[in-house]
Amino acid sequence: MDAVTPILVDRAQARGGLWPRMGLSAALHAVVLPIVMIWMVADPPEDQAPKAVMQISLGGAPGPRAGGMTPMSARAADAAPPTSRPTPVAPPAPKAPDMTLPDTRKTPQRETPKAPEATQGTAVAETGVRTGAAFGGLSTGGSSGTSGYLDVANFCCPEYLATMTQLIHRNWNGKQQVAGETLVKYTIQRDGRVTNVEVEKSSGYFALDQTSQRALLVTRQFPQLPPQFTEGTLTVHLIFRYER
Amino acid sequence: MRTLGLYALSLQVQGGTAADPVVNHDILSLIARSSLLAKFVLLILILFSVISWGVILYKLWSLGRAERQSATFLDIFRKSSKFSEVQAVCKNLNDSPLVGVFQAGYAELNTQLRQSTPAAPAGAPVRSTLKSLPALDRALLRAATVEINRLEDRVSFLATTASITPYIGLFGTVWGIMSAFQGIGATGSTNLGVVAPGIAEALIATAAGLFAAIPAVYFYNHLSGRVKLLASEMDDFSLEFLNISERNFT
Repeated sequence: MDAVTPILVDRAQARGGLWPRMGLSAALHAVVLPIVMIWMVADPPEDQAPKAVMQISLGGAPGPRAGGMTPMSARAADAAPPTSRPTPVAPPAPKAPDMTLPDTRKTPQRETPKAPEATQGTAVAETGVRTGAAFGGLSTGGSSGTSGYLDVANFCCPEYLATMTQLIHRNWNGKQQVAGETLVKYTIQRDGRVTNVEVEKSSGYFALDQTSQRALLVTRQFPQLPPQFTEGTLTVHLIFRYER
Repeated sequence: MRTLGLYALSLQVQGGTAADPVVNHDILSLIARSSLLAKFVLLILILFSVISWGVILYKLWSLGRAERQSATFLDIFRKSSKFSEVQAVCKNLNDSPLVGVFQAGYAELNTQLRQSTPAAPAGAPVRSTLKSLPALDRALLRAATVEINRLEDRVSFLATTASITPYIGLFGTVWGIMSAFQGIGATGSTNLGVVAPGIAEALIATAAGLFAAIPAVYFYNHLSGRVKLLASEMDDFSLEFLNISERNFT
């Protein structure tokens, strides 16, 4: 009989200590798992909804346009708006000189280029699908009508739009030399930042487009979107109307 | 079974608080609402986790003992001048793999020496010699194999856990999402409030699978490395033992 084999068999069979560790592991699981779960119950993930921040605006917002309080620089809210423009007093026309020489120079006849003859009239109606809510835009004259609209239907809060137009109006230089309309599109982020300002429909005058864009870029920050409004961003199409 | 008891208890605790309509997205109510199959999958994963952690703790403990006792044994072996002295110490260092190798070698050595010196005259200085060095080598090799098997015992369960549990979890998730989509089809609503809880519930299974798998992967590699170290230590010791035997007994 080999002397080595019994020793090897003994050693191969001798093992212990597994089951105590198994029990320890089970106890660890029994402690850790409920703790983790109860901890998650007691501490649910925080609500990510933005907090409603009270808006305090100085300088009399929302201002006379919204029919509210009056900034000190503007007319009083209860004062009657001027009904008609004062007609400027025309200066007397300069007197014609008594004697003039007849103008012998022949005025050059200006050739007007001939336009191609229209054979058939086609009219394209620009409807502009306006699915969203409409609101008053910006105008230098008194007439405003419907001149802005949103990408979302049923926007909850008209007072927000009033504040918005008020803020833009402060930064807008409406006194321009020409009349025209610029349609500007921009997006308000959840926190009120203005992004993606672009001219959607040009007025044809660079100055007007530039002034309109500048009004938004200078404003840059609106109040946070109202908490009742659930989506992340609000896209606004706003018409800047320059009148003479 | 203690785990399951506490687990059921925690479910009941949740049942008490679930009356509050605000707290219904947490993990316990998700589990409580999930289907029977999802619960079964979770149960299997928890069992895997419990067993693999049991193996991890066991192997950490036994390998730690083996390493400590091997160091002590080597100390004693190199200081003492007689194998019989070393043999006397072996009983206290039974967890070291080197002890197994040494005992096998010593037994083989003794057998060979006893057979080679039957007719020595009493009183004369006897130089006993080994009959076969390769036989001694084979005995050491056999012992080393047995010891390696002992060291690697149950470590392979960790590899199994590491590779299986993510798939089991994935299975639970896929099944849960399937039934979530069936629910969507039945209600006809794609509202996030309808879709999200079902998917969240399904994803718990994947999370549980990873929860079981990640420690298993880590400790499998860790323990395999330590077993490999011990095995090379054993090879080294075998060669040392052979050298000493050849020097003294041939």
